[in-house]
Amino acid sequence: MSSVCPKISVLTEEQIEQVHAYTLNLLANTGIRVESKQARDIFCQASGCSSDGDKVFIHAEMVKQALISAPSSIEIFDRCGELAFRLDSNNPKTHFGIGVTNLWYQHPDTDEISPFSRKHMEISVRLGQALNNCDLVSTPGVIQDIACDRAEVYGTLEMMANTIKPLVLLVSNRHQFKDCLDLLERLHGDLAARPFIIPYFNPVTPLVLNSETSEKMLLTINQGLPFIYSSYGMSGATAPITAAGTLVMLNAELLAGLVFAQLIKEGTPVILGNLPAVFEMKSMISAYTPQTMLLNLACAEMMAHYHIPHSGTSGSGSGWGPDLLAAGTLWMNHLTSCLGKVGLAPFVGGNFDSLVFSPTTVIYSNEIIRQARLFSQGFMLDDTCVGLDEIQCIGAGGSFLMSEQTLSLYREIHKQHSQIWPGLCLEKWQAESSPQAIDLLRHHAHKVLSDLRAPDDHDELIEKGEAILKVTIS
Amino acid sequence: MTLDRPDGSEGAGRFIIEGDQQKARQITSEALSSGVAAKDFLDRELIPAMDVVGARFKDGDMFLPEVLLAARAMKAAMSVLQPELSRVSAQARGKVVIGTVEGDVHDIGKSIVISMLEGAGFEVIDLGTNVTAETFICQITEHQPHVLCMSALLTTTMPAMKEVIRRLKENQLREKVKVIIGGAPVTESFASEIDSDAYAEDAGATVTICKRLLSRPE
Ligand code: B12
Repeated sequence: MSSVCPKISVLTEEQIEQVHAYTLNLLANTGIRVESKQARDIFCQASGCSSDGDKVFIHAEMVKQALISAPSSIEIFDRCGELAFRLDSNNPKTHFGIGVTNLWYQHPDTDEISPFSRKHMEISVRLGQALNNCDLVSTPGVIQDIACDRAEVYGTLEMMANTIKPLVLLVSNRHQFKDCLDLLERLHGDLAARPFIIPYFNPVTPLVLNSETSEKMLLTINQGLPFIYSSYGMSGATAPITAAGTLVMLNAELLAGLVFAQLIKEGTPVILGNLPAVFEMKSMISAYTPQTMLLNLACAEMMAHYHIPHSGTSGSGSGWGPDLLAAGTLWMNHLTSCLGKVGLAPFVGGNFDSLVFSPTTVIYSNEIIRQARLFSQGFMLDDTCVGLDEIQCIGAGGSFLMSEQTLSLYREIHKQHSQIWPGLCLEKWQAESSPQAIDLLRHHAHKVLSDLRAPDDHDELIEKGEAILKVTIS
Repeated sequence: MTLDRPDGSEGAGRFIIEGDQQKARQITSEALSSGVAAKDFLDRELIPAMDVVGARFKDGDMFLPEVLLAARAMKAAMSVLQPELSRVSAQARGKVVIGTVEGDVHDIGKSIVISMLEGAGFEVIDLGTNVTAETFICQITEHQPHVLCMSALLTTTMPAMKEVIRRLKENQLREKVKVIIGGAPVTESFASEIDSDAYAEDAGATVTICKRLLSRPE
């Protein structure tokens, strides 16, 4: 008995070693700029580290130590303390989430764009809760109808109250980041015991560990939480234009972050990965191209090699809404992620270069992920599944419509078909006034969105949270 | 349009557009040696060339690296003209101070704005990222620019722009400098709400607006 397991592999073992060697060269000779003195001191206390002004040079031994001490697998829980999934670098499976920090919301019926509001936060998070193929929720938007010195804290409260799924937390303001963690801890108790909160940080590509990020990392690590450290590079602008150059440089940034984290606290759980966008030289926007997806997989393979859990890109951003543009990129991303070694794909749902959150895009993505997952499951190849006897029995010119295997499997196989669109033949399509696929998607989205429900403890959490915020945020 | 001189000889414009900094510098030096006034040369050859570059980029006929090469060639030519311009106290198009506001590290857009402004003949002083209101005020006092440009890419750092404008007023500087703001979350209405003179959606628009603001009679 054997199962057919489709996989995509981008790098050979030899190439992985090659990328690693280039990376070590960069870390030791070019170094990274570490803005904060506190962070530089942490680096410089380690043996093997040298510095020159704000430049820190990291040597191979430090990287080796960090790779040994960082956990290879991280358990992520839901808010109720149940194991949600394990991010296991030895057996990577892709987990998807909606996101992230969009400034606008795209109306599901009309595609009209309006500033992301508190109500939009509630809808988006509940949508993340409702969709079967969404495993976590990343801060979907930045609330604009609340004063911006507190909007992120209220946003975090809405996230916690409207889903029990794990949360990836993006907070732009360093003070509010601490307020958010404090709020979550007061509402939930010890966040580190069964972590369902995963903060997300970036270095400033190229090769800068900025003080805000190192400060947020210190806070998170001391609180005992796992976190994502992800490089956002734009090939041609903030990163080399070649795929290879981008891969190596972003890898160096990730390993520098890993070393820093392990120097703060040995054994700290860190999730690494990158968002390798490509800078479009006419329109000046970042785009997700085939190169992005290749590098996403290559990075995931590097992390699997290092035994470090991975978080990559989600293919969101290229569309103008739930359109052909978005669909192409999402398909390419979701399928390749599932076939590669991608751990997290946490930011599904953004359009216009991560500025506009579209619930309809998310609902379509949910269907793509479902199908991509089915694809990646492959199929069984054995005597029973081939069923030589059955083929022989039905024979040349016969029909399988009523065969034993068909009768036992047709319902299961039907799941492979779209759950959004009916299969229409030409005549039926014409008879139904030639419906457009987008209209049926909108209709489906409308239904999903009208059925959204809050978790049972929603009201209680909002009430408690608001009471806390009234006192703590003046 | 033709960038050649009325006598048919090759002007600096073509080399600016082609991004050939050596040739641009050389032709500028030759023009000065032959007695052409620096300001005339700037107005007749360099600025029209960069206007062509700006228009071509806007129409999608040029790639950003080509625009940046052109801007570099323009800077090279300007470095030849600058001493002469200062002597007759003529200015380039104007002086601009620019920075990304406090709490914000995004600078890709700002860098492009800088290149375009320099390419269009403005002198630009870049204060970098995460620039405090205090630093903006000190630098404006020191450099006395015609325009202050502020960039913010985060909703949470937009209020820092308002604070800089408040401090400008407090220090009696507001009337002395035009303010232009930009960045993904920034809007026209936010600009008027915080009493900024203008908002620009991209680097090309920034150049147009700078020109417009500085050509207004005071
Ligand atoms: C690249 C990027 C980064 C890079 C920045 C690297 C760098 N050196 O700049 C990194 C990875 C470091 C980063 C970090 C973060 N980022 Co960021 N980032 C972006 C991204 C994807 C692209 C920005 C960009 O460079 N675009 C390309 C350039 C060419 O365009 P532009 O900046 O808009 O500039 C043009 C115009 O706006 C205008 N312009 C720009 N400045 C100015 C100034 C003036 C005066 C004028 C007139 C015009 C003007 O002209 C430019 C050229 O035409 C945006 C998404 C987006 N679409 O904007 C998110 C985005 C801005 N980031 C976001 C977030 C959340 C963050 C982080 C908080 C993430 C985190 N880890 O927690 C941190 C914050 C760090 C900080 N304190 O600043 C959010 C903003 C949310 C919010 N609160 O507003 C966005 C919208 C993405 C998202 N949806 O998540 N980011």
